Amino acid sequence: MTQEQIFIYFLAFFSGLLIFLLLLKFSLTQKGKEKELTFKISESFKNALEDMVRKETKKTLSEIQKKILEEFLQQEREQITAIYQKASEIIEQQKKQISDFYQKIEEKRENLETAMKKETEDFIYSILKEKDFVSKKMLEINETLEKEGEAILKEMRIKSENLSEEFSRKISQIFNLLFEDLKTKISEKENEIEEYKKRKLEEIDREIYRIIIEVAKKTLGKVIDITDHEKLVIEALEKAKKDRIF
Amino acid sequence: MKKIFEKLSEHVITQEDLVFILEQIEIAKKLSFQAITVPLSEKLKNKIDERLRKEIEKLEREEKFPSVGQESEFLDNFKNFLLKLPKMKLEIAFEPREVFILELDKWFKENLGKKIILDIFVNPKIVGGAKIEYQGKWKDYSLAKEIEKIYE
Repeated sequence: MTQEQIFIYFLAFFSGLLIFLLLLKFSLTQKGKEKELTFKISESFKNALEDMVRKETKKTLSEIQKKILEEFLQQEREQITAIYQKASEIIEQQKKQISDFYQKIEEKRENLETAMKKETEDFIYSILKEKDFVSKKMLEINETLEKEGEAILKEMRIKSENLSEEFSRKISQIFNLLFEDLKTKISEKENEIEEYKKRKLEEIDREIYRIIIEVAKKTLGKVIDITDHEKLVIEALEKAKKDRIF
Repeated sequence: MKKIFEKLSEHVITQEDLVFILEQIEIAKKLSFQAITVPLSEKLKNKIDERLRKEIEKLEREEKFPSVGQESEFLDNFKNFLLKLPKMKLEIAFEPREVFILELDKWFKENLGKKIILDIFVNPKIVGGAKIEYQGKWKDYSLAKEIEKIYE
């Protein structure tokens, strides 16, 4: 129950009370007019009536308050209960949904695991299968290579023998040519050496003569005594005079 | 005058002698202007070569030396006489003795009738004999040349 509703209840209650009091006063006024005609209401009765009305009003008001509060509380309780029930339902529903979700995930995981396991097994199986195939192929290739290698070796041996023969023949030709050329060159060089030898011997002869002359000059210069030297100078002067140098 | 100069230059035989006597003349010339009354030979005592000084003294005694005031001119003329003497380059194989140099001087006087200043150059490589150069003419009379001729 909202405050607005409570306020409406209070307003209705006081409106009713006011109407009641107005009716009461009207009836009393009517009665007074009649009594004026008949009798007059005592002051004590009036006060007692007012007290009674006040008490009754207070009591009624309290009861109304109590009733309103109870009603309010009852309504609240009902509402809370309803809300709690609703919430419980939602929670339950969520729980159920989560549980379902987990169950689905679990299922999917299991499915995935199963699928992966199967894939892995298939893969391993295929590899094993391929391995056998590859081994077989490699063996075949090896055999082929061995056969081809032997064939190549055989061919190479034949070709190398041919080449060797050809090479020997060519070498022999070149060697002969070189030998002829070498012979000519040796002959030329021998002539050159002979010439050089002759030239050098002439140079040596000249050098020997030069040395002999030098030695003769030195030894003769030392052997001649001062008197002979002086005589040779005078002789030179005599010759110069004869040659008309002076 | 020429005879006086020839007498004074009697001992001038080589190029070295010539250089030496020219230096002596210069000294004598300087001293000739000092103490005019004193004879030149006196002034030259212990100043120049004694041999030359004595020759001058002898000339003074014989009154062949010029009088005071003309000494310098005399010395200049003597210098010119010496410088005009003919020179000969003589290349020989040995170091000549003084006696041989005098002998050479004598030979030139006897054979050429004139005095010659000898520029002597010692070169043992020529072995013996001489190489002579005189007034633009040159001739090799050495033994080295003779030896080379034998082997050529």
